[in-house]
Amino acid sequence: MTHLVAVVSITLYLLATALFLLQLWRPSKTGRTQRTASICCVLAFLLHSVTIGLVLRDPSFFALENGADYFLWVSWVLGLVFLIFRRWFDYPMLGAFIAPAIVLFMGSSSYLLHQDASSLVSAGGEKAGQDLVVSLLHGVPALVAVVSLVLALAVSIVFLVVERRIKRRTALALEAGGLNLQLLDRLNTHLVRIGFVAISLVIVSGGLWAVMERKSVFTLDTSVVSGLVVWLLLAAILFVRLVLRWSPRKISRLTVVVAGSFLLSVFVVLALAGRMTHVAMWS
Amino acid sequence: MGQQAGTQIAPQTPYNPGLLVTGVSYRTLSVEWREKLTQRVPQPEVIAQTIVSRGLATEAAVLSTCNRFEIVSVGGDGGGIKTFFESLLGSPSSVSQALYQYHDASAVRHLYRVSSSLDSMVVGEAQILGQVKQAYQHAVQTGSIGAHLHHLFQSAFHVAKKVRSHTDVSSHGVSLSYVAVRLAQQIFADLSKVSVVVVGSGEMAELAVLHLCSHGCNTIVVANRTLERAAALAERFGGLAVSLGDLDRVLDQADIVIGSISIDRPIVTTAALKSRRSGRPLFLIDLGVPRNFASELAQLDDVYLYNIDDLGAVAEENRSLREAAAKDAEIVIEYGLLQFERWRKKIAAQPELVDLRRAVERICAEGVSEALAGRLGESSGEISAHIAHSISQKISHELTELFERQRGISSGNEAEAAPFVLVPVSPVEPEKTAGNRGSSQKHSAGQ
Repeated sequence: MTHLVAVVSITLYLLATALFLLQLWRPSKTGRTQRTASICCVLAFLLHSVTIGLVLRDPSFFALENGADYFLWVSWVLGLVFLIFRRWFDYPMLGAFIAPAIVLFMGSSSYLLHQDASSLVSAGGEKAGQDLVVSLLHGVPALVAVVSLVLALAVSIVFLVVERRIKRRTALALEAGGLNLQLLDRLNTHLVRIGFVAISLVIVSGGLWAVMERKSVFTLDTSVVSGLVVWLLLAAILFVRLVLRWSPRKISRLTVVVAGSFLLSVFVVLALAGRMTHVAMWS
Repeated sequence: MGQQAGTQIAPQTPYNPGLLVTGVSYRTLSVEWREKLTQRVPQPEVIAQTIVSRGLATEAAVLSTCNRFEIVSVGGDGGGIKTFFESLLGSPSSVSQALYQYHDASAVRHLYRVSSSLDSMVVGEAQILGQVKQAYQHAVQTGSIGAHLHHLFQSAFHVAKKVRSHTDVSSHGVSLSYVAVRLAQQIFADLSKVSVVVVGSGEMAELAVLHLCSHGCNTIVVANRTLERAAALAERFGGLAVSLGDLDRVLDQADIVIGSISIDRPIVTTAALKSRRSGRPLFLIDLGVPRNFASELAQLDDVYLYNIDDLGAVAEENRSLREAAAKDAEIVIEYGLLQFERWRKKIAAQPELVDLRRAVERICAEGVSEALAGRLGESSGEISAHIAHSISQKISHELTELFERQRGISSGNEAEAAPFVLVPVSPVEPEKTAGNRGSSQKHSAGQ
C-alpha cells in the first residue's frame, strides 16, 4: 500500500516536472500548463503526506534514521517549501528546478520502500530508533540543511539564467516576471545562512553523540566528511558575500558548485551506495 | 392562409434591428480633420442622445478618442447617420471619403477589435478599453442605449478581457520607457528603494524618469551642465539637482543611471565604477547619442547596460511578438462574434416563442371550455381523456403547420412568403370561446 501511494505520488511529481520544463521552454499563453503542473504538485504532495503517514504507523520506528525514509522526508519538506514558495512567486522556472529535486529524493526513497522499514532500522544497529533526542537534534537539522541547499541550488541556477537573459539584452529579459535578481540574491543568501546554521547543529549534535557512544569524534564516513567540507565552504560563501561583498553572480556560481557537489555526494552515498543509515557505517 | 380576428399570422416585423458602426479613424482621416472633429464635438454623449431623439437610430453610443470617432447604433437608416456625421464636420466631400460603415456582424467584429486594441495605432495598448468603457458609461447615463447595445458593449468588454488574458497581445511593451521600467523591475526588488541619477535633461530621459516615478521610484538626482535646468527637472519629480562635476559623488549611491546628455566622450567609465561598486546591481540606461556610458561597462559584474539601440531592439522584438499574438486574438474575437450572433438569434426568436406560448394557452382554454360545455354528464375520466385528446390534436396541428411552413412544405404562397410569427392574440375569454366552437376549429384548420 505504502509503495503504491508513493509510486502514484512520484508519478504526479514527475508529470509536474515535465510540465514545468515545458512551460519554461514553451510558455503557454493561457497559463494552463502551469496551473496543471501546480495541481499535479499539490496532489503529489498530498499523497506524499499519506505515504509518510503510512510509514510512521509503526510506533517503534523513527523515519529519519534510515536513508530511505530520510529522503522521503527531505522530498516532503522540499515539496512543502515549494508549495509555500508558489504562493508568493508564480514562477515556472523555480518549479522546473525544484520539482526534479523532489523527484530525485523521493525516487531514491521509493526505491527502498519495498524493503521492510524495520529491517532497515535493525540493519542500522540496535541503538538506532531508540535515541529520539539525538535523532531530533541531528536528523532534523540535517533535513533542514539538505532542503535549504537544494533550494539554494535551484535559486542560484534561476539567478544565473535570469541574469544571463538581462545581460544578453533580448526580449527574453522581460519574461522573468515574479522573481528579480535582487530578490533571488537575497533568497540565496538566506538559504545559505539557514543551511550553514543547520549543518553547524548537525556537526555539533553528531559529534556529541559520537563522543558519548563511540568515544571517537571523527570517522571517514562520507556524510561526515562532506558535512564538514560543506560547512567550511558555506562559511566561505557567507564570508565572501557579506564581508568581501562579492557579486551575486559569483556567489550563485559558487553555491551551484558547493550545493551541487554536496547533494551529489550525499545522494550517491546514502541512496545508491549505502542503502542504510550512515550511523551503521560506524560499527 | 385565412386571417381571423385574434389568430392571424402577421408579416414579419424585424425584432432583430441592424447594428451599425459609422465613423472615421486614424486609418482613414488625417490628424488635422480628427482634431477639427474633436473640437466640433466636445460632448460625444450629446451626439448619441441627438441621434436617438431625431429617430436616426433606436440606440446609439459614441466612441471618441484622439485616433477615432465612431457612432455605434442600432436600428434606423445607415444613410441618415452618415448624413448626420458629415454635417458634424460641415465638409461632406472630404469626410465622406474617409467615412466607413460596418453592418451587423462586421460591426460587432469591428467593435470587438477596437476594444481589444487590435485596431489601435499601437496594437495591444491598454488605453482603448477604458475609452470604450467610458463611451458606454456616457451612453448609459444619457439613456441612449438599450438591450442590444448594452449586450454588445458588455460582450466587447468580455472579449477584450479574454484577448488580454489569453493572448500575448498586451504583454510585450513597445515603448522605450516601458522596456526600461520593466528591466528595472527585473533587476531590483523594490523600485521605491532605488536611487535614480539622471545625467542631462533631455526629453527621453524625462519620460523614462516619469515612468520610473509612476512605478514607485522617489529618489531622483538630476545632474546637468547647467544647474538651473537640472533644478527645473528635479523640481518636477521632487528630486535633487547637482552639477555635472558632482556626478562621481552621486554615482556612488546610484542604482539606476540614465544618461541623456550630448557629450563627445563617455561620462561613466569602467575604472570609475570598479572602485565604487560593492555587490549592488547598477542599471545603466544610455539614451545619449554619442553614448554617455563606455560600452565596456557591460562586462562588469552587476552592471546592466542598455543603450538606446538595445532598448529599441527589445521594443521592436516585442512589437513583432504582439503582431504574432494578434492572430490568436482574432480567433478569440471570432468566437465572441459567434456567441453574440447566437444571442441575437435567440432574441429574434423571442416574439415567436411568446406567440406560440399564447397560442398554446388559448388552445388549452378552448379545449377545456368545449369539453366542459358538452359533457357535463360524463365521468371525469372521460372528460379528461377528451380534453387531452382535443388539446394534443390542436397543438400537434399547430406545430405541424409551423414545421411545414419552416421547411417550405406548405403549398400556400402566403405561407412560404410569410414568416412563422404568430401575432399576439388577445387573451381568450372562456365564456365567449365556449360558444364559438366552430370558429376555433376553423382557425385550427386555417393554420
